[in-house]
Amino acid sequence: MGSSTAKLLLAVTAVVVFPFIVSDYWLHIGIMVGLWILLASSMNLILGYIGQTPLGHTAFWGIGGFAAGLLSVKMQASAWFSIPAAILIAGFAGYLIGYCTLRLRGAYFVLASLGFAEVLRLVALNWVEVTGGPMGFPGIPPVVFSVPGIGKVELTSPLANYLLIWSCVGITLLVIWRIINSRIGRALVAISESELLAESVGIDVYSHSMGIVVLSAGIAGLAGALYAHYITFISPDMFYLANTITMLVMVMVGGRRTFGGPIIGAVIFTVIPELLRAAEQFRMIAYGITIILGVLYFPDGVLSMLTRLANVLKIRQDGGRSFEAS
Amino acid sequence: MTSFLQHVINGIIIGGTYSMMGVGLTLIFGVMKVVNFAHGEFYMLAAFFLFTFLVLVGLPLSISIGAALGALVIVAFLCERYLLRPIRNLPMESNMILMIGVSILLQHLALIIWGGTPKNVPLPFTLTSVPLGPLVLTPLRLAIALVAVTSILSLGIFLNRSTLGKAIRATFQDREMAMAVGIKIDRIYNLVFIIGALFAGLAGILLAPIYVVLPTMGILVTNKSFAVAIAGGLGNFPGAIYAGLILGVGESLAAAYISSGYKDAVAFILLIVILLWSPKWIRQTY
Repeated sequence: MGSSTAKLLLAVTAVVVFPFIVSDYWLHIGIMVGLWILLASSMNLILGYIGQTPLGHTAFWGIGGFAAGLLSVKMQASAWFSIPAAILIAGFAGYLIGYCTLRLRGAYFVLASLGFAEVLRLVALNWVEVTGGPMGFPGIPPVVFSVPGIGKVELTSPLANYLLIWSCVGITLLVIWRIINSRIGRALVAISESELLAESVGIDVYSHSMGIVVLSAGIAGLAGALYAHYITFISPDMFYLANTITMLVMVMVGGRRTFGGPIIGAVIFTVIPELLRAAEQFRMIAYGITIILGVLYFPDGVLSMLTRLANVLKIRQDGGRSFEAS
Repeated sequence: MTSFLQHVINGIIIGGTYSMMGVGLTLIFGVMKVVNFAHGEFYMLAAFFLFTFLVLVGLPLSISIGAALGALVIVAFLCERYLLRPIRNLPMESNMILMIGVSILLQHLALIIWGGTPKNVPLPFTLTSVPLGPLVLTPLRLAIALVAVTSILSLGIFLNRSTLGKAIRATFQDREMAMAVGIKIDRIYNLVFIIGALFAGLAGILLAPIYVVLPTMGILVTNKSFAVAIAGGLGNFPGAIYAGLILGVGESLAAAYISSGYKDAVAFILLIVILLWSPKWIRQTY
């Protein structure tokens, strides 16, 4: 058994055992960690693998949330319809953004995606009859399973939601893992290194980038829909730039263009703010400084820097024996 | 008809400040290839500096304006020298993310220093309105228009006529060649960033007496400046000026005839329409 298989087993066991040993408060945090993993990983697909900065990424999380919420309340759709529909709608929104901007890229992509999120925020704030305006939109039903023999099971408890959301996280991460370790993933790395070079060896830059933007938007939409059914309440806050900044910090600190980076970043930046509730007003300042230092000194992510540092220290301590052994 | 003309005039005047911000942003992008996400924060800081010197310290208006712009120059200088210069040779996405960090940092520092309650910047004098045929203009708005036109014109003259302006234009066209003929790139970059920030700051100072001053007011301004700079084509000065005026008039008319809640969406709709249309001047400048 390889060490990576062991790590994977350990992670899965931890995720499965966790909800049964903690209080409801930590269960909620566990759920939010799952959702932020979806968001950070989906942002990493764009930021790390096609080298664009999606500053309006929170739009897709908001679209997913509002699509699922509106469909299930106004049209009484079941979650089996509203969640896939939310994914498709968010993915389609990703396609529209990609269509407008991927030919221009660079600064244009960033600003168009930012502008898109801002327009949606204004619509969510001002279209009061449909979205509830600044007061938000309450009364979204939880996910309902119909199990033969038992009847309908409503996922109202945090534990049930935890299991549902983490199953989605597991499936999504598997999909991302398969993609970034395939031919497509290598093509994407080539694109983010140099678009011209990638094109010259026959990689279709536009369709690869578009595929990733749509996938990423769909994943963020899934997270939004799950969140809407879990919290049963959504508001225009979902479109705020601060959400995108949080995702950006998670990805930058964990490490761009790595599979595990956004996951670790999501865990750290969901748990630490909870522990530091008292220092709430300094949180965004810490985020700002983290981003600046990240760009200046740790372009590969703070974590990879720390592990490298730890390795160097370990080698010093035992005179380089462990280094030779490995 | 009169009210329509009045909205257009008001729009042109506010549009003048949008043009200023767009020109500052386009200058920084064109010469330095830096996407200045803290542009709105420079606007916000200048307004808060003005508030501090004028209201808290109690200096006269002209000295307060000078001191506020001076303080902004220091911030811009430090930002270019210690944050942007070390990563100049990294791809554009790096400086973009860095400036996002700077913008968040400045915003929340302002929140801690000045607090989140809206501040008014009262002018120490009152002036009666100026009738212009059937239209009415307040002296404050006339002053805004005057400063906007003068500052943009003087930047144009500076870039076109002076030796330093020529050096900036040379850097704009080809950085390596400019270095090869002995232009001190470090100084040009520093100067350009400060000029760009000053344009944002001047707009902030002009608009502070009309709107309230808030730590978060820069976000929308950054977005609008970008909409202006992009619609005009990044690095294209006349484009930014026209786009700023169009945005101002568009917003004024949208607020009057559609809904004031959607006023701020005009910038993004303009942005998206321009990107979809993708006219020649956009494709050329990237």
